Amino acid sequence: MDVPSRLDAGRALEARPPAGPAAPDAAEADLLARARDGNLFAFDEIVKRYQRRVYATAVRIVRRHDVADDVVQEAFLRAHQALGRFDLARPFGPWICRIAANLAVNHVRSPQAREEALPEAHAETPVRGGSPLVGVLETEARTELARALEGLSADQRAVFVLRVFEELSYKEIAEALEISIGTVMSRLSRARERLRVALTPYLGAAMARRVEGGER
Amino acid sequence: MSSHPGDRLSAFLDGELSAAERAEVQGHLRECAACTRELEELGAVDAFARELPVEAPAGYFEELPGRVRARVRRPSRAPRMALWAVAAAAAVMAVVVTPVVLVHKQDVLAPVATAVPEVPAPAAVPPATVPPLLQYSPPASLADTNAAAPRAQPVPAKREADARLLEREKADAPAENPLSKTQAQTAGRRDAAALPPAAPAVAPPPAAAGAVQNAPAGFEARDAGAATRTMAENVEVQSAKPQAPPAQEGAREETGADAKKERARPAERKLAAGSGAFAHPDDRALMTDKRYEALVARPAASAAEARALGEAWELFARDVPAGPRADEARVRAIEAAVRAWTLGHDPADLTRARARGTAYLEMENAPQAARVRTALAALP
Repeated sequence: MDVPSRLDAGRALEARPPAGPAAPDAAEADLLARARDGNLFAFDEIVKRYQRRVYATAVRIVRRHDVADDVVQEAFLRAHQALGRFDLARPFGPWICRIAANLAVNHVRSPQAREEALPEAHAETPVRGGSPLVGVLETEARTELARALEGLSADQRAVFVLRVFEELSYKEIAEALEISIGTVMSRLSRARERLRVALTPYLGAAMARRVEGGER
Repeated sequence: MSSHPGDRLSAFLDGELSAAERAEVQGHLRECAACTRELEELGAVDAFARELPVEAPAGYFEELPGRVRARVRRPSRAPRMALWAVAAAAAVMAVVVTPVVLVHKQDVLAPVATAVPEVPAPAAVPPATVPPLLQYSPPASLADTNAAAPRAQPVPAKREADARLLEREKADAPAENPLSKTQAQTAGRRDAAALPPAAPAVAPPPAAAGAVQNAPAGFEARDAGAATRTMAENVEVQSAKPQAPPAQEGAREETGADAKKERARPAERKLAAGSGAFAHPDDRALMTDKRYEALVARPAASAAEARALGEAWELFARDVPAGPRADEARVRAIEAAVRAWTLGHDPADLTRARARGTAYLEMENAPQAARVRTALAALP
């Protein structure tokens, strides 16, 4: 088994299967069924499949590795406990990510979290070096984006993460976070607006690059 | 020109507006370049955010499944009722199965025997100390009569995660019975060899009894201290063992490799030898796991706590010379020192944080240099 470096881990996260209501494969349904029947090894396999995605969801919301780690473990435990109620015909990924997001938000809201808040989080460290295409501007923009994400409330981040990374519908997000659809809409709008303002100096270049990339 | 859509642009982007609202926004966009640009920018924000890599410490995803596994095996909130229910069931089983068990290589169970003195009294034993295999792969006879008892129970209280995370070290460190876990792992490994992969997770009772006779074929004696174990334990472990679910190759590989790695570390052996309670190198390796988990879970709410945690991480890093875990320990020692300084502004912590950070960054190819630099950036 290859041991990914830190950056590899990041790339692996991006390489996750597309989220959304894709039909779960039969092998996965079988794994889940066995895990539900108490087969720990099957559950282990599920953990291995989804750990990166769940971790990404958690760390994007809580912004700290140690807290994200707690959230991820707890999310898998909850999922394990709730497997009996889980409809195996549904995809597991969005479900576990919703659990993780809910736990993450609750953690950030907790008094304990406020107490242990660190001045500087480093969930998404700007990548140094990287490909030649990644210029100084982009590094700066990443730093800016990381800072802007930091400046959002955890509630806003949770909505943003579930929408942008997990591609959940507003209804699904509302259910996951136990808020109204109107609240999802306004939090998401405010989150995006703040990020947009923070990134304005860089967005032109980013959009141009996307067009370039699209044409290649 | 219609009014600017404002907040609704975001929902428009997501296709979450009603048909009427959508038409209205579309109409506006045709006339308003500013809003069109804003919409594009919102889309670019999403795309850009998706490009931002997420990093975890090196080796984190190699270790996480094992840690989840350990916690699934010993649910910290499983109802205490479960324990005596299991004990009662085991007692019934003892009468039925023990004669068979006793003639078959009793010494396999030695680690369980060594674990017993650590447990103060049966009444005080948390559910976590129930032999793990029994919890998750109960023999059908147990599963039928006590189906709910040994399994992880859905936790009724919804918001307890936070409290639990904090208390995990307190609750789990004494509750943990590392030997049971070892037993489970080694048993699992052996069963993988003894059973075809397609073996059902739960066999019917007659098959279970048969398996008790068959399974020990490949087992070797590990300790001569078998005499002290109780009949109930005997039955629990023996009867549970053949039920172990078929191993996935990945899981096996990971556990096996870890155990081997740990066994090769003299420092670790020396360290664990102090406790005197461990009969097998696997148990010591497990103590390392345990120690790591405990440190990860340990809070650092004050400068003193953070300082102590930093020291503990440094010690850990020293005891475990190589590998991702040692690296993570070194980084955490730095972060803890930074935190200690942040909380208490004691110059000694500042010096310590800088010294550790510098030492780390001076290493060639320091795997988590970026993270350490970020941590150090919080210092003046």
